[in-house]
Amino acid sequence: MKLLNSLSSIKFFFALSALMLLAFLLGGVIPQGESPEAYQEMFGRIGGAWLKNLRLNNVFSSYWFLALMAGGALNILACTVKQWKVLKQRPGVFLSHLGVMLMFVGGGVQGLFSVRGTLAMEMGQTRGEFAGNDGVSVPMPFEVSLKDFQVRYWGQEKHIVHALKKCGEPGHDGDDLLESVEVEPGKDAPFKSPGVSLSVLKFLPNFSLSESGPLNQDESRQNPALAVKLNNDRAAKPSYLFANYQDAHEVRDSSGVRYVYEYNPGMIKQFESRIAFLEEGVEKFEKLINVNSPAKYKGYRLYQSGYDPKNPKFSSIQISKDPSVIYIYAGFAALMIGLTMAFWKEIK
Amino acid sequence: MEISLKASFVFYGAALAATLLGFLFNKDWKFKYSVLALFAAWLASTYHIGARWYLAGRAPLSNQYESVIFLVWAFVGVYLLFKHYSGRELEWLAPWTGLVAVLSMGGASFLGSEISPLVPALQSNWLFIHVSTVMTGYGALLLSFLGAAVFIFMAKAEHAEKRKSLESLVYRACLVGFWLLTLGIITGAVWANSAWGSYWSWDPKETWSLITWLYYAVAIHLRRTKGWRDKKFAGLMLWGFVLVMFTYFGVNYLMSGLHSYG
Repeated sequence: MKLLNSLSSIKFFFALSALMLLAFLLGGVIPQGESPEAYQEMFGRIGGAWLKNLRLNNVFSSYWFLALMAGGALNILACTVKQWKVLKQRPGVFLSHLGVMLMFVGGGVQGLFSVRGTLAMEMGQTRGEFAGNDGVSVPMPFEVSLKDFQVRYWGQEKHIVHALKKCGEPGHDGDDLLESVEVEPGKDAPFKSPGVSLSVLKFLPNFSLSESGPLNQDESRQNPALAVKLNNDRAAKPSYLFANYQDAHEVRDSSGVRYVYEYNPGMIKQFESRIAFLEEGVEKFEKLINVNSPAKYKGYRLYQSGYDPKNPKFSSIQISKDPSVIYIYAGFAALMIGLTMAFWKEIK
Repeated sequence: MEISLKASFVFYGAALAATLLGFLFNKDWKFKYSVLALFAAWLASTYHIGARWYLAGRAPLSNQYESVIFLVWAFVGVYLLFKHYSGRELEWLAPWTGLVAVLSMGGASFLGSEISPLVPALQSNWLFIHVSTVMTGYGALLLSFLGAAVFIFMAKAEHAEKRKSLESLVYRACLVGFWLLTLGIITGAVWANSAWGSYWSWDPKETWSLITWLYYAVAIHLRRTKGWRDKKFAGLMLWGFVLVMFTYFGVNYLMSGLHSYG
């Protein structure tokens, strides 16, 4: 009984809260999960080493933080057990504490039983395992096949050509921006510079060089280039402006103005994967997943998490199996109902 | 749409001016017209938020500008609700509310106000539920902060009656703010779980929200179990709102994470 009284005491709660606040502050202020070199750079060699020894580089998974959380759970548990007697008088307080306790339980269940990781796939690939967050490969009770992957943009892509001129001021090596023009393949670009006309002949989304000359490999935007001609010189061969290599290939007019190409794919609207679930090679069903719309199968949830702007066939999918969600959500419900009951009379 | 925003700004200013004029000419109506001006400003703000929602085709809560406008709207709304249920007890707080609203909206004018399309992560109904809950909670905590600041400012004995009603407002606004902050964190966790499969990631915004939440939880426990009232509780509310401000603004500018867009 004495132990129960000590564990449920408000003094213990205040002491724990102060320590938790300190821990949260440390975790909130010190960048988490950086490399040892980064900490050495930030805090010096000795500071960086101490930081690592005290696990301040990963506060929220350190043993001392987990012990603190366990202390919090014990405090709430003891408090809840004691309040059982006054449940009828203060049901709101009891429920809100029960809610927080359920969240602690959920946190423990998650730490012990949840699996999380990433499925990094290219279109056409099928996988029966994923890379766990600790780097270890985790088998799945089914296979996942990436049938299709699409990145959609808000509005059209843009091609912008900047006209730059060497800065004339002594001691200044940079270029001055004269003007920027949004251009359209197949049309002339209206640059104001006197005597200059830029003909934009063609857009090559993925420029490549073959024996027969320049060609477009595919529609992916891996190496966007514009075929242009200066001053409408129809006879001359086209020059190429590269978005990824703006300084590697120069296109200049007779007055020394340099033209640089910027490719703007537009703001991403959505990226989505069409995935199929298979068992022993037989397709069970397929689903289109995107951010905010995951797929569920056999306790696993698959979330669209990323893409590679350089590889249009690549999709990164987060996968998780987390049995703690039910405890956490029950805790949320108990906490909200409890707080409502506890506060209602006072707020009125 | 812009005219409604300007109108709300003018009305918030009018709430302040009505009281100043009332004091200048020794009129009894000073607070009454301040409250009326506040209500007019709140209606204009409601129209502005609604029009922006209609034009954008989504809840206007996706960047700092939109959230500040919503925060001011929520703050004034919470004050008007408390005023409505408290009779004339709290009407003298109207000019102070107007002052905070004018300053906040002035600050918002420095932020980018363009309507831009949503990034994929924000394309969810949870955007409105989560952000509006948190912002309304911040609004209530701002009211608690304002009440606490005025409470400490009015230390003289002749203000005993006002201090009593103010002390009650500071606590009740804190309870409303804490309740909404809790709901906001919970809705954020549910949203994160449905979008990324993880209800908690110790992202800087999440960590600082938890710091703020725990701070207010301790403050409420200190009042309920240790009798921290009046100046002590007011002091807690002042420091608490510093944490709210850091969680709201500081984290966005000083740390990167899942909430970097707003």
